[in-house]
Amino acid sequence: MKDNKKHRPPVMARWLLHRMAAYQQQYLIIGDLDEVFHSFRISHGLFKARQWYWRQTLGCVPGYGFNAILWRISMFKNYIKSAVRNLYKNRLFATISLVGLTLAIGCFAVTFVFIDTMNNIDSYHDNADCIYYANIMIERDGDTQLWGPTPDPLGPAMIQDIPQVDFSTRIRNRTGKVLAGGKEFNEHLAFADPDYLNIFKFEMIDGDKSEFGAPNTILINQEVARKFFPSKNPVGESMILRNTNGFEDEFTVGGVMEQAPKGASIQFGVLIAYQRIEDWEGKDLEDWSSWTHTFIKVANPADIDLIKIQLQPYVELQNAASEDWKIQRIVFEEMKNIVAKSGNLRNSINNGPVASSKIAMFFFGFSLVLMACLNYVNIGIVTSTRRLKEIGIRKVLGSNRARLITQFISENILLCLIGLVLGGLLAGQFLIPAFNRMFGAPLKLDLLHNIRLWGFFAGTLFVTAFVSGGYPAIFVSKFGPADILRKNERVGGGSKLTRFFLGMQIFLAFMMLTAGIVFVQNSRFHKRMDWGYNQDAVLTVPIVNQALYEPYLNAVRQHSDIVELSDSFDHVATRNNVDVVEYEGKTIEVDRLAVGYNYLNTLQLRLKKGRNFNLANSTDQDQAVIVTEHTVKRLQLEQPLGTRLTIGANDFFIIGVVENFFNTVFQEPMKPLLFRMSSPDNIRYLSVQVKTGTENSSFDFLKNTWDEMNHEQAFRGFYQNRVWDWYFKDAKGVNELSLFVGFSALLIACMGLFGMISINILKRIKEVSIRKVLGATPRQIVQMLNRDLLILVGISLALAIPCSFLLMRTYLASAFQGTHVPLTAVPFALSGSILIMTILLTVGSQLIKAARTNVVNNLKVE
Amino acid sequence: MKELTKLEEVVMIAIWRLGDMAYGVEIKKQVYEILGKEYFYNTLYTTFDQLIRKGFINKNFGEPSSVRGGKRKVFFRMTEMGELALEEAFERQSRVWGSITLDGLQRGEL
Repeated sequence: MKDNKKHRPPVMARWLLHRMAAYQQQYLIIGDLDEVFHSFRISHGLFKARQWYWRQTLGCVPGYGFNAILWRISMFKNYIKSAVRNLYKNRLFATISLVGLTLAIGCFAVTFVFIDTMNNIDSYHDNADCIYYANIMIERDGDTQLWGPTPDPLGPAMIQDIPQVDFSTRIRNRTGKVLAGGKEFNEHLAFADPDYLNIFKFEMIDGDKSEFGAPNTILINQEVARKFFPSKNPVGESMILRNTNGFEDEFTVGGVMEQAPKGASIQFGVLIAYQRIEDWEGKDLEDWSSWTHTFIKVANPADIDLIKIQLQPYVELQNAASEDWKIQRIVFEEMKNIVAKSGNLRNSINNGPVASSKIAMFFFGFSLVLMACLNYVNIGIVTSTRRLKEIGIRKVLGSNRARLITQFISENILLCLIGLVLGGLLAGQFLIPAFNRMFGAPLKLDLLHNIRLWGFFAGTLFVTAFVSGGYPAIFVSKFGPADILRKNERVGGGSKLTRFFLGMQIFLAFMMLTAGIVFVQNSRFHKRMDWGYNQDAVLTVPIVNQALYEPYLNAVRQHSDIVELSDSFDHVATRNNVDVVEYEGKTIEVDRLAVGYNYLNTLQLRLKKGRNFNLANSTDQDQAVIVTEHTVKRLQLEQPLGTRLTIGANDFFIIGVVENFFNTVFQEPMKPLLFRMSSPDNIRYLSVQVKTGTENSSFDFLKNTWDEMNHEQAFRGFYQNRVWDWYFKDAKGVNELSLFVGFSALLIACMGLFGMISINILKRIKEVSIRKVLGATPRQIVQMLNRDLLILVGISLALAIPCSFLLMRTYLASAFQGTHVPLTAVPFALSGSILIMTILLTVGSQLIKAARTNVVNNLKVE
Repeated sequence: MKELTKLEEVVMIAIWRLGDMAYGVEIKKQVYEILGKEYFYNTLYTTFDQLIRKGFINKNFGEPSSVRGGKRKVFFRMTEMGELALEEAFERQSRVWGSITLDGLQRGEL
């Protein structure tokens, strides 16, 4: 036998034939091959024979391969055909799944596009991996902070000393008045070194790049060009730039550049040579304690570590120049990560969206998809149990489990594909434009250029079709035909798993609905709460021209509705500086507001202890500070009045303590804050307190008076209670979004319930009929059918309420560190009742239909 | 009546020639002799299937043998319809070529 074994044809080749050929053919082919193999072995030897056998086998591969593909395709066509028929047969349930899937995929696509766009907003620059943003590390209050701004001389020094740095530019973004062609607008001005154009990608539309760098040449972007010169070529035209410090000069437009994408880190309206910042702001560019944003470009990203170790001399230079702001280290952030990592970076050139909002959005989108999938699994299980006979007969006719699974999955793929396309359309045509309108975001569903989007859709399709469709397929295909046909298998809507999934949907829907309600409640709370001063009675006018201040003040003073007024250098919630305060060896950063003596009265900030600034008291000007209660707490002062604080090289004494108020937006944690007196000849704001009810007329008065006296600058006064309007606008978007998501979730869950209850009723219709025959009233029937459902909803809500309470508490505490609405029972009760009402409405019609069903029709079949 | 493809024609001729001995290995040899080209078994068996479907040949199982790994031979035999089809193929062939000779073709004359 041993000898015989050796003489057998190659096993592998035979295995290959087994795999490839159809059963009847392989039987014959292998027989023929073996026969020839034996005669060949005798005449030519074993080796030759094997060689021959292999050649014959491999020769069959192309033909069979082609055949196999052909058959798969035609088989798939059949799968699709039967899938379409089955979906049509179960069209109610297919529609339920489809609507849920469409909604969920649409929302999820928006979240994906949002996060993807935000994280890749800066990737469009050529060689974006080689561009780095220089940051500094500072140790303060015991922890290490990362700051965006770097010293002015750093960029030029790196270019000079470090060979690996190819290009470097400093950037300062400012706003200034631009006058040209008889028009005047405030524009975004960027001051930058000539390398700016070598580092960042800006297409030149007109003019010459090399013009940039000359002191009186500027580049403008398309939008500015269109605004100022709608009908002619701007190149060579002159523009006047002006600021509030008295800078004014004429510039020539050297070229027009393409506009940077919305939200990108590097933007400009007008690009000006960097050296002009010297006269624009009176800054000394050689000063290591003056701050700018620095970018570098290297030839090879691997060089960055080499560059990092050569930076120590600069740190020393900076430390020598700046006593109270010593940097520890200079580090680099990759260009494309600026937005993604902006959460840790203070004063970054581009702050981007807050990380917590990204996480919240992703959570919402993902939960929706999860809910839709659960719906799908549920409906999949129950509808396929209605097809048990089909499965039994298929199995009897020789279909194996794999084929059945393939068929079920192709039905799922088909449905998910339709859902995906519809979801994509929903996102692209409706949700993303709505999102962009709400937040002014630059999102688009760009399938042509964004390969990640394809990955996302493929992944979503895979997850929805295989993970959610796979379970029902495997579950149903496992039953034996005999059991099915003898009706021994009892499966369906009552199974624990489907109940669990339904419960989970209700759970998620409740969570999302509650979140939406809490968000709305929260921003309403912020709008109505006491901001620590009388925000409704205060109007503020920014003062542009110092010379006009006195006459304007005198004119305003005459108005009888104006109760108090005060000048100031800084202004609450609008502008402040930062002081570094030393007290008994402790150093803390304190927001500083330099204000006029009557400022606290004008805003009605509430003095808790001590006194206000007094003009008669000569030491108040240079030595008095008024601090907030929070500052007292941070410095752990027991007797705050009279305490000496050191700021820079000077000593100050606390003369008063005011109640905490909101100088920073509600999301940010409250910061320590102090008031100092501003110098009377440096006035930037005039605030007035008006009588209640006269806000609008007083505002008009302020504007008219301004316009009469000042023809050059536009009036930019504002109502103090509108200073957070940007926040409320954003919050409104978030609220609308989360309510939309919450109601979508509710819709999906209700559709799941609807499907479930309909199937349950279908299954129990005979039971219902018999009960009716035996005298059950419609009410009893409804109760009987409802009992399970009520238990399910009850359990889900009992779990969802504490979970969403914890989630909301954590979210509010981390996202709104300043203040947030206290969590009450209201949102939970509200969303709970919405949920129960909707559920009852959804299932009610089905239940009543079942209760009124005609008994004869249901029982006469057999 | 269905027409024959080129390969089917050759396979039919091989089966006709072999008579009672027409099975895979021998048919393969015959086809090689006629065309001078080696066909792989998958192609041949697909052709057999095709011919069976058209009703031109039928198959009979022989005895299992140890040389064939215990598998039976399958003999193919032409049916009456197959004979008719082959005759028709011959007639068609003659009609197509008619009185054309190789000599005439080379000289470009009828």
